[in-house]
Amino acid sequence: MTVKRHTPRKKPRLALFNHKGGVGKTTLTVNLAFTLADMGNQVLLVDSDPQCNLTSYLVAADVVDKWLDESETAGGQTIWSALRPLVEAGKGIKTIIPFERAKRVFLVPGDIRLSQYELDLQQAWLDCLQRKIRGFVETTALSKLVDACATSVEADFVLYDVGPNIGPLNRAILLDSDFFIVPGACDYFSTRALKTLGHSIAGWIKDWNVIAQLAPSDVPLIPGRPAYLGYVLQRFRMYGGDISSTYREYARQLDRHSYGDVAAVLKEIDEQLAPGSLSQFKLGQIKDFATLANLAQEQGLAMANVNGGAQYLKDEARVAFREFAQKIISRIESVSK
Amino acid sequence: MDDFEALSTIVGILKELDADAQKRVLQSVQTFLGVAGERGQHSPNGTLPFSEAPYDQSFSRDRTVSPKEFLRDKNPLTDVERVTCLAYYLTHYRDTPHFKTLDISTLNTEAAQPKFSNTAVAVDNARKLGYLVPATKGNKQITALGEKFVELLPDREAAREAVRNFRPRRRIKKQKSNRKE
Repeated sequence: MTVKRHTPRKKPRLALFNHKGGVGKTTLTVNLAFTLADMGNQVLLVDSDPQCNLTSYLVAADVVDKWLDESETAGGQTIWSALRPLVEAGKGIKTIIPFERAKRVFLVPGDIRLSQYELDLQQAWLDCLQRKIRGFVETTALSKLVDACATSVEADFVLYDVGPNIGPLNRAILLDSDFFIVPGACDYFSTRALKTLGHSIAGWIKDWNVIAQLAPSDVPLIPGRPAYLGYVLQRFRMYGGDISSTYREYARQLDRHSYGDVAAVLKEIDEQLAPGSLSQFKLGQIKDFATLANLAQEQGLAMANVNGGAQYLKDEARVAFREFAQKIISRIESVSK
Repeated sequence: MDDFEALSTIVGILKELDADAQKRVLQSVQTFLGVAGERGQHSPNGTLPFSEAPYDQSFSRDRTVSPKEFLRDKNPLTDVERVTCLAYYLTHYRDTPHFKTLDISTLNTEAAQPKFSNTAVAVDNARKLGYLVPATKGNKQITALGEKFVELLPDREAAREAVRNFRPRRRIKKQKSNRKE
């Protein structure tokens, strides 16, 4: 029996994932998206967290509320509006038009009711194990939706913003991603979280591969091979041009655990799931920009573009996110070769 | 549940399926539980399929990068750089912040590196460059500069730049004032 492998996508799909909450996933996702767009790329953001933080970040509160009110109507435009016909009536997914938030930045709005899809995904996984077609259709539904949205906006990059948990929804998203990046904060829990994160993803990949091997030939599949690009260090302060001593030891621990608990675990399955050597897994470090982060959330902008705040901080943010984006692009290029 | 009960339950359920389905379910169970059948059973070319690749789910197993991998990644070019990298590894991967020259030499052997022509000289040169400093009881320890240098490797340009820009904090001596207030 051979392994069913997907042809690698030409336009990469990335998940910024850490099941530890409060590490700055959403803020990082938005800033990365705006930076990639500044560099000339079309970017599709998918708010796949039922908390809808990404949508709330980018869109005014009253508009978000209106979208949520209308999500179950014929004109609904949230992620749930698209998936609802499948979840509730077993029909095909509905087409939605991504919201153009800024030049080259598009958003698939989130929805609290996405949790209903997540409940179904648990059963869908079991159905997949029993080779039931419905299981495959449901598990791959979000992927199909994102395919359609990405095609409609000609996205060069798709970024998934995910919730902080190891649930069936995140499992389906991670298995649909080509790459994943781990945002890590400089604290003890973040370093500990890497161990469970690595094992969870490894388990999902293994399980999905069994499912894919046993799947009937005509069912839809997701790639099931998210490659670990690396981690980005966040939530630390600088002193004298360097990470301040309070955070330095955690920064070193994150570096060590990123390799030992994520990369090494995935390498045991397949070297290509965590390509590269120790120093290549650090994708960047984004210091705590304090007030800029709050301003950015209030204004729905990248930190470098906010009104107000210290100019030198905005310049620093622009440089940090651009370096981060460039590192991601070069990593993807080297991995894809 | 003992073995016999488990077997009875499984057989009871499988009896209701046709032969093909029984075979498929058994293969799935084998794969899921990591209970290997005969090697090559699933792959005619004898290689293990992706899903059967060995994967140790142990949380407690130490998968820390080995000194050999560490040095391969950092790619030190001189004896001094290698000593500094080994000192970093001892400090941050072996919880040995204070070490003797012999510890460096032993780790160098473990990392399967060529022997130093003279370890003591290499360590002393690292000290002269500010990568190591003396600690108590004749031990050595890595400095902040040494750590920074290793962390930036293998980007040699960035590492050298960091060394050039490194300014150790100096205590400002209070000058005695002769003035009488």
